[in-house]
Amino acid sequence: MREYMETTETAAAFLAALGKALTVRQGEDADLAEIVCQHILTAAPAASCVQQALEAITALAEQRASPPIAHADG
Amino acid sequence: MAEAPYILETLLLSGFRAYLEPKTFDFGTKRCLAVFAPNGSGKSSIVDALEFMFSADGTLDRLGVRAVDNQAGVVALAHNLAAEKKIPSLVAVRFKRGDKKLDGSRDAVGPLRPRPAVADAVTACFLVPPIIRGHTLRGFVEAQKAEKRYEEVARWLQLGPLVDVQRNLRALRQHTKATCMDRGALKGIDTRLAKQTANTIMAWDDAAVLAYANTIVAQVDNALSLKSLDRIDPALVTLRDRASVEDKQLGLEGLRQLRQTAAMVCEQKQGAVGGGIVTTGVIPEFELAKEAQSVAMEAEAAERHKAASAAFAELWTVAEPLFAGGAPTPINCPICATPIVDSVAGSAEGVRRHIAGHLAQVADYARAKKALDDATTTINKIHARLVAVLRALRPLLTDLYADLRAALDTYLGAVESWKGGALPDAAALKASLHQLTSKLDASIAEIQTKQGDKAYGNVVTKLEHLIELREERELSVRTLAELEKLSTALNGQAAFISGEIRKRVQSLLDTLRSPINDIYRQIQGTDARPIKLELPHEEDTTQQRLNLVVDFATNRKGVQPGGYLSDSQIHSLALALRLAAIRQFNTAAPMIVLDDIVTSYDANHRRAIAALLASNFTDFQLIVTTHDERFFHYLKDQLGETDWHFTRIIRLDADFGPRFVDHRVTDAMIEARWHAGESAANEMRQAEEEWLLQLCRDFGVNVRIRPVEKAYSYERSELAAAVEQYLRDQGLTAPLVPGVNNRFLTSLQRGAIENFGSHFQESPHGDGSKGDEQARWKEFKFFRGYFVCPKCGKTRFKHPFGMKRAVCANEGCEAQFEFTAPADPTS
Repeated sequence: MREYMETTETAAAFLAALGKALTVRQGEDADLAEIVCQHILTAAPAASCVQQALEAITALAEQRASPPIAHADG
Repeated sequence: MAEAPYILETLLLSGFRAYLEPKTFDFGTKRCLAVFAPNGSGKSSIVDALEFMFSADGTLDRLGVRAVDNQAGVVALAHNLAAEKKIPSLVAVRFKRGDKKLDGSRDAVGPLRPRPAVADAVTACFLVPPIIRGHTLRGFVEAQKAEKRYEEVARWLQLGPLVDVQRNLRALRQHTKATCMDRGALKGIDTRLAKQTANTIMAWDDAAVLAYANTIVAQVDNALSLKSLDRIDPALVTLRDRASVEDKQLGLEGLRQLRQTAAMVCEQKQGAVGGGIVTTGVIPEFELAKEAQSVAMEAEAAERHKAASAAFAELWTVAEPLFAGGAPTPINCPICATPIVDSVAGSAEGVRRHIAGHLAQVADYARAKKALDDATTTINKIHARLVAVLRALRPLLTDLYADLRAALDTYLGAVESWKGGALPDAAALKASLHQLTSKLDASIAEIQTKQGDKAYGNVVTKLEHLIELREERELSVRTLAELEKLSTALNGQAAFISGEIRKRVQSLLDTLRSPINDIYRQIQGTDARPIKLELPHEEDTTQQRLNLVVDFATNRKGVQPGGYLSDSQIHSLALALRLAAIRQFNTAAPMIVLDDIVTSYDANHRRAIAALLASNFTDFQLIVTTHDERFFHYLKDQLGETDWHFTRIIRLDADFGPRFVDHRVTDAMIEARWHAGESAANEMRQAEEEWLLQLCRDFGVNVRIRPVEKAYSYERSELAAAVEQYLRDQGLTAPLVPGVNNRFLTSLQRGAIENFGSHFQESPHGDGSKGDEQARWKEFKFFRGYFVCPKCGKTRFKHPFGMKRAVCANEGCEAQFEFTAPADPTS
């Protein structure tokens, strides 16, 4: 019983710690890491988590590809 | 402090699978159960009941939910006679957890079949499926793919979320890569480019597109040329300015509408014949109608004078037939009686001519009058149309046409107030309209000349479409490049995550390795080669696999077991995996259900498994079913009677269910049936059978050795004959029951009795009523009362070897058996 409780807690806690380690890891793309943590690296992912993460990655790519918006009034 | 584990206390099957009548397994005093039965007797239904109770969907793996793909569907859960006999189809459990008793029941019919809360709670404790069926054991070792095995073991280790992460991460990497490779957006842009350039350019090429853009510019101004396809290119800025001026002019459609409306009022144009000027429109029509009306008025006036005496027209009309040719001529005037010959006409012929002349004058006048009326109607209609057309033209005349608008207003006012007299003067308006239409014709022609690619607005629009396409394409190219970078970064992050998960999984796998091999060696012997659970190498990108390998020999290390191990070794390996995992992870609900797991084993291995259960799982609740009698005996030999209940199914009755060798129908159960208003015929029959069988055992009667195909049960007639023979050998005869002539034992031997409730009757069958059943039951109990110890009143006997007659089984009594009349026949 004790083993069960511990392993149950550890799976979720392990993922949380892993997410944290990923986001602060040197040289990692922080925006991408945040997407991975939010959608994938969770103990209770949404049924459409892959699709959601892909949309977020695509949106990030589009955002980075778009030229900066020029403001006429400075 | 950890909570107490869940222990199954009772299991009830009612109308479920092979069990029609309710059957309760009581684990209260002995928490483990071993059931021996031949195939097809209903032993697996016990395992089915537990699988059903714990299943998520309220079904069994082999049934599925729907009756497709060779699966029988959930309909097969219920006993086929349950509905007909109105027996509820369900499984009920009672679990004990410390001092708490937790009950739950699950219907086996209906669309929902919800799992009770206690089963939810217990199922949550099963990290490893607790039910092991012999026929599925091989699958884990041989048929199961490494990926599936990884998933299953990871879930045993409570690493389900990590498996999901790995699976989702793998899918995300694949989808991201596929999105990087997708050139659909660029192809779409090429398609639109081809359409915009009329298939001149089929695929994007900066220089070609710029050249095409300049061909468009040249159509409106040869002097202009784009340096680049850019919104701020000077040539495009110039074109945009010109288009803006163009936009402020009255549009072609507006000009056409104005010209058309002006022409409806009045238009001078070249005639088709002779080349003269022709004037058309409502004003000339109005003028012509006025002329026609004037002519008609003059004609009417003249005719009206000639027909001044038209007042006599009626008289002439009446007189005409009197003087018509061929008719008898009147001698005197019919009105004034003057003789005709004395009248001015002088004769009837003279009167006839006079009348005809006057009638002709009246007819001419009538024609002139009608012509005038028609002309007046026509001019009034044209007048109304003229007013309408003039009013329609008025709002179309902008300030650019102020003079014309003033002339129109003057003329319109005069026309509106016209009452039929002289026409308003239209000369000024007609001249202005003529100027207008000439001017409009010139403007329209100019615009039409510039239509198509030559219009500035159109050119600017086309250029801007091309610029939009260029911008869109560049954005797509940049986005794909960014996606490529993100995909690469994602691979790196996935490798990091996967590596961390790998370390975690491997460390937990290592905890399983030792117990698995302990169990495996216990079954297969101490020299059995160790089994290893291995993840792929670290650099392998497909980490979500679990290899099950064995060092079979020095030159066969790390090989798949399926290729080298024997059938029983593979079974042992699979069994060891499951049992070790259950042992390690299912401590919150320490239950193991084993259904026919020894089919592949020889006698030594069966004994080894029995020993394994006896030594390693004493703190578990085990439920074992087997059709292997030898294994059943090994279990009995090695497992303690304190914790274990051993029983056999002797047969399967289609209208009852499995019959257990130790099943007892009590008198109270029979009374309860009657109390519930139900028939107790089956219970009576079973109670009487059980009593007879027990008596045979106690007396140690001689029975025929059964044929091999009927090894498990004795027929009533055989038992009855054996008892009677035994009594006869003892010099005893069972007394008659008062008021009944038939002898119970004799009736049974004759085989004439189908229903135990009627065996004392003259008629072989009772009427089946409740009263009849009760009468028969009372008689049977009286007969049973003869088999009571005359000294202590106990009902069990024994016949020790060497003694002449059976004695009371009560150790303090051991009085010799003899018939004694029951003191109370109903007791």
